[in-house]
Amino acid sequence: MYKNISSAAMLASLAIIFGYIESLFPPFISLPGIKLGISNIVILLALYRLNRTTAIFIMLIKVVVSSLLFSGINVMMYALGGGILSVLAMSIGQKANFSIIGVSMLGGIFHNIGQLAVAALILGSTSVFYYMPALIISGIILGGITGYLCKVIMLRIFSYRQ
Amino acid sequence: MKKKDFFIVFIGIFVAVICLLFQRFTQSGSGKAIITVNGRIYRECPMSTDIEIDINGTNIAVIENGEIYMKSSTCPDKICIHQGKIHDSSKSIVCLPNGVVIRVEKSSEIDSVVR
Repeated sequence: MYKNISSAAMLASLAIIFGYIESLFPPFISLPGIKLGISNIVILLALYRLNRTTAIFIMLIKVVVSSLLFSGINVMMYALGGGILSVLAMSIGQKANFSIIGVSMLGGIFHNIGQLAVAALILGSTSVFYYMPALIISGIILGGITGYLCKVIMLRIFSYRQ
Repeated sequence: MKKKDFFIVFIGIFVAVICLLFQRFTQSGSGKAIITVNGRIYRECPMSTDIEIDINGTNIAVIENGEIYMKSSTCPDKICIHQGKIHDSSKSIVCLPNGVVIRVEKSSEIDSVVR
C-alpha cells in the first residue's frame, strides 16, 4: 500500500499535466466533447500496473484538481460522470480479459456516455442523446489510439507482453 | 489486439447505427403543425399522429407519416394543394384566398451546447 502511494501520486500529477497539455491544442474536429484523452493512458497504466482502487482514486484526483485549476466546477460534473463510468468500464473490461486496446476503447465509449448522461441530467432533456452515435464512434477510434499508445509505453518501460 | 476486442468495435458500431436509425424514425414525427387563419392561430396539431383537419370548412389538411399536406381547398387556383407535403420549418403551405397558413415547428430543437 505505501509503496503504491508515491507511484499513485506521480501518476495523478502526470494525468493532470497530460490533461492540461491536451487542452492547449485546438480541437481537431468541430464537435464538442471529442478529444483524444491522453490522460486516459495514465489511468490505464495505473489499472494494469497498480490496482483498480488506485486507478479510481487517480482518476478522481485528476478530475477534481484539473477542473479546479483549469476549467471550473461546471465542467467538473461532466468530467466526473465520464471519468467514473470509464474507469468502471475499463476495470470490468480488464477483468473480462480484453486486451489493453479493447479496454481503452471501452473506456473511451463509456467516458462519452457518462458525460452525455450528466448532460441529460443537468439540462433535464433527453435530446442530448441525439449526439450518441458520433460519441460512440469517436470513443472507439480515439480510445483505440490511446490504448495502442499505452501498450507501446508499457512495452518500452516494463517490457510488458500480452 | 485480440479477437475479443472486435466485439467491442462491432457492438459499438451496432449501437451507433441503431441510435441513428432510431433518430431517423422518430424525427419525422416530432414537432407540431401550426395552422393560422387570417393571422390568428386556428389549431395546433402534433405531427406524430395521422389526422385529417377541417379548416373553417374551406380547406382540408392531412397529417400522414409525420408530413402535412393540403388535401382539398375551395380556392380557385389550388396552389396550396400543389405545394405538396412539408415536414419541417424550412417550408410552409399558404392558401392566400382563404387566408390559411400551415407551418411546422420542431419541438426538440437543441437548446444548449456544452463544451
